[in-house]
Amino acid sequence: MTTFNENSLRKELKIDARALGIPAGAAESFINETIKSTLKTLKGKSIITNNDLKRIVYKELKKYHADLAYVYKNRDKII
Amino acid sequence: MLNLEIQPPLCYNLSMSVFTSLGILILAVLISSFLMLIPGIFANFFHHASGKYTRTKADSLSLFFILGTETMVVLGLFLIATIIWTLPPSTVNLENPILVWILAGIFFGLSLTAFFVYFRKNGQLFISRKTAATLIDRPKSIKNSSDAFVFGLMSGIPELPFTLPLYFVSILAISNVSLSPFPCAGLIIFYAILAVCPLFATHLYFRTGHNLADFLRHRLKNQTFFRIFLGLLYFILATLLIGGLIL
Repeated sequence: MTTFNENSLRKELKIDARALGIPAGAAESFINETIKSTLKTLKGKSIITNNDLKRIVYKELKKYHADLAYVYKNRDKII
Repeated sequence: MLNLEIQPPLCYNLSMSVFTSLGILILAVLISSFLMLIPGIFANFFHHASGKYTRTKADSLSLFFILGTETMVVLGLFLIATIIWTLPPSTVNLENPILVWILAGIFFGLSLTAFFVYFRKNGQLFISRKTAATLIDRPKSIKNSSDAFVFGLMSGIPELPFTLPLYFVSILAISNVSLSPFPCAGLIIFYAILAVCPLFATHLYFRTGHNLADFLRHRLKNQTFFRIFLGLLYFILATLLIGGLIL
């Protein structure tokens, strides 16, 4: 079991966004929006599976940047 | 005084068709370039390095990763070559029916493995999920060239069951093709360079405007093709070995 860490998610998404060539300002803005929405969805839940968390973040990210959302969702399929 | 100089004895007096040996070599290189694990690790590594560091540093780290992989391939090939060349040439060559049938059996097995096991249903590769998670997370802690080099060196290890038999048969074929030790060593190095070409191609793919999402989409979309083609190549290699024995 791992604890959900907002900062590590933000850091990971920022690295992915930079690698995908998304401008820093835009990336910052929609990563903030994604995390805000994710936290709202998670409110009241004490335990959540990694897959569910991934699904929630993917759904939010997809509204702003399809490639970033795709990389986030399918990262484990690369190997 | 004893002369302990090791010479590749197979480089002489073998009558197996040079064309069959060349065919085996070409197939081995082709199979190496269709194996997906190391390019996948490299793509993830390069993606992470480009997101974390400047373009120059990301390029430098990826160069050291490729050098690490190349070193592993060269070490593997020369280790096998040394073992083969120190054994009696009459037993270890592509005209020994027992050895050829064993190798053909291994390649038939690998053909089935490549078809049924190499790719999982959800697009992941054959290695355990714990190993995959480690390989995916490792680039996060890579900060300098030596880390990248060691990561490149180690990244080929999980795929050794698929590559070691290829190295073995390639050394036998190289020994059959060339006429003296020097071209043998040269051909081994040439083979090793060709074996890491997919990594340069992946690097070029990213540098020409594609990203990890494109890479993943391409891999998932063509997974069935890769599976069939890889299985088929191993099958052809096994058939060619037996064919070389019969003809």
